[in-house]
Amino acid sequence: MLARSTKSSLVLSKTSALVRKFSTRSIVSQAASVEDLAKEYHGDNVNYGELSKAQKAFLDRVIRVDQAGELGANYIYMGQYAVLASKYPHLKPILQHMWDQEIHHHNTFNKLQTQRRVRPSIITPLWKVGAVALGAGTALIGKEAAMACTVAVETVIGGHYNQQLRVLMNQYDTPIYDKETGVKLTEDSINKDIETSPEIEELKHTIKEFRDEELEHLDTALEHDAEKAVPYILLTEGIKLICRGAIWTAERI
Amino acid sequence: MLRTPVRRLAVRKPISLLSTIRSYHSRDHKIAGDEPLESQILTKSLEYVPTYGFNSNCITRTIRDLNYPDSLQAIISKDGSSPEFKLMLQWLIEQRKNLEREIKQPESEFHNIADEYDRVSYLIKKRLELNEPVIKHLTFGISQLVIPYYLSQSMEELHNLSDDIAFFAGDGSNDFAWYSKRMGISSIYVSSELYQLTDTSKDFKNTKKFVDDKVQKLNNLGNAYNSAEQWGMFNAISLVNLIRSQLVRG
Repeated sequence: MLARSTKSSLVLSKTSALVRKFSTRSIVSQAASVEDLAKEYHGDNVNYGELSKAQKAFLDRVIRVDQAGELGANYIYMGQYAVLASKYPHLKPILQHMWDQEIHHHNTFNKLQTQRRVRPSIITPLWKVGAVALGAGTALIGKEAAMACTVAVETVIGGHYNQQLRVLMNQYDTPIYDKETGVKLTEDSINKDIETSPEIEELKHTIKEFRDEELEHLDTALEHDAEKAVPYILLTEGIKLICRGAIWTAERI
Repeated sequence: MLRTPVRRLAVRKPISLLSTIRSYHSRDHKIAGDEPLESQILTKSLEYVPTYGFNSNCITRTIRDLNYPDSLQAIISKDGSSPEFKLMLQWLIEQRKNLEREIKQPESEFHNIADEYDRVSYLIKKRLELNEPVIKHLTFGISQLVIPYYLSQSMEELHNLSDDIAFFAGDGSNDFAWYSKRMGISSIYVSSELYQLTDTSKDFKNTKKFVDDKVQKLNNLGNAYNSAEQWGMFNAISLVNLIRSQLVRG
């Protein structure tokens, strides 16, 4: 109702400035009186509606694939570090910093996987071996190739996180109910704090934070001569292809 | 385009073995998709099971108790499975929920057990205790579960139970151990239940000892696996170092 009266006031505003001034003022006072009556909603006095089976299945996949991905990233840096740390002492703190962040990501998703009771990817042993081989293999070619590998991996991961965020932003508006009365809240009484459940909100926040850190790694790798790797295009595109295949597989099995 | 992922998932029917394993448990939301009337009738029918066994009689009586028409029996077997099997499955589901209710009580002695494997053992024994009121009908019930047509549903419920047991025991495994642990618990549960059927000792003392032994063996197996992995890692690293030192010497 409020929305409709605002619209009509906009129409009025085009016709006469004087009328507009008058009508907005009356709307403001009207809205204030409604707010006085309405309850203030925050996280504690609302219940969230059901998730559909598809929404649940998507969350299941998100946790599993992100856990497998962070495990991969962790082990790739492990392989790189093992080969490069003693050869290039100046790279040691940089690699260590990135590796530490990946370990933190990996632990976070491990915890989520246990709490939300999602099954891990069944071929986890294969991911471990493959990731160490990828990290150590590219590092053996040279430090530029290792950095090119980082560029490829982080590009794919960053894009993949963004895709997940888009779905989490668009597809998880469940109905919200008042905790005491059980009445469904109307559009007007839903504020920004309670828009989505803390569970989804936390997940989005985690993914956002991790995506930013992954893209930071991408920049770091570019600063450290990733593009001087020969053959750069072949290496990065090949690794990107491997990563996409791994994501596809880890989501499913 | 943004909408594809969720919608595509909705259409797909779960067919693979993996999809029967329970997935994402939400903290702030419920999950849609229970059929209340059917499971209501079945749950109520379970009260008759100790007297009549896993038998369609229980369902008939419940439907009459609730003053529903007799034709309502059709909804129980609408997916083509027999009422006996439905009753048994519902019984398993209910007992799994009972187990959860029991250990969620603040005064349960479960909370004093620190070790994960002791907890597993306690949970399996508690679950087997719930079998006691219907023990003489259980052989018939289990024979329903292993009919090939129903096997996938029975296995799913078994895995749900072992997943619950592993979770409540505090399992934190994140790799392949997740699967082997649940498989281990499932097989221990099945073998202990079969043992229980023939056990004549007082208060099923022998069954309880059987469970303890089996869980201890699972624990040993886990330790053996971890030690083997550690040993393999150690040898791999020393092999790399050996090759390196040989290369340096030229």
